[in-house]
Amino acid sequence: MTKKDGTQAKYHLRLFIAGRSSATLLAIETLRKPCDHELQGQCELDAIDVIQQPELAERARVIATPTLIKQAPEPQRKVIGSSSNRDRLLLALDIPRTFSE
Amino acid sequence: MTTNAYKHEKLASGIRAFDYLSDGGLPKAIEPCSQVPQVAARRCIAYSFCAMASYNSRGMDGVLVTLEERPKDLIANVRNLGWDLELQIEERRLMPVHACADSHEYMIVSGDFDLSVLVSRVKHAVRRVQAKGCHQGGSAIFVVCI
Repeated sequence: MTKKDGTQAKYHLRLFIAGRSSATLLAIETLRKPCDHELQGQCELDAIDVIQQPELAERARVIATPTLIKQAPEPQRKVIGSSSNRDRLLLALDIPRTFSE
Repeated sequence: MTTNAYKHEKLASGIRAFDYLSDGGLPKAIEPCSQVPQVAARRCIAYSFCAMASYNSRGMDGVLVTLEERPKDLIANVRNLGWDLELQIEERRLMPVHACADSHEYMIVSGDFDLSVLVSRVKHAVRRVQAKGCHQGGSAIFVVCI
């Protein structure tokens, strides 16, 4: 995944959501902070609404929303649910805590 | 015995014995739920329904939602019974929706979630089958969930 300025985005995350529910907003809010801090802008985040783009949900075989998929780097990780626990999210995604401020 | 009693419109499954026993098949536009305790028996009914509904050339198309088995395993199992679901899938008479988690997949559940995405996926599959069906002058759609 290449960013606009030509540098490689280290982390590629894909968030599957269903409409604008409170769970959706919580999932986005929980992700925003790690993307801005721990990953220091090395993070590309796509949000996909499964109601508008069900074919992408089909391809990724999403069975619940919200689902966060770490596409890159390998290994792929899938986190289901809208927990606001940031530490648990980082652990689940294999993001080292050394990035922490 | 009354003969003019209300009779719900039925959707013939194509399985002759089942259609006879159930007085014409499954009730149309209602979600019947098979509660046979044996999983294998439930699956056999669902497989037969999928296979027969298209085979008896009444133009019925379907969506098959698998909750426990991967579609490719299911296709292989059904082939042993003499039904070629793969062909039906190729001709877009049957759309599989793979709704189970693979055992090798690393998945973590944390917090609330809902399953509305499955409804979106099934609707999408129905639309895909219908899009093809339109060229044949429309067809009945069934959704089987196993």
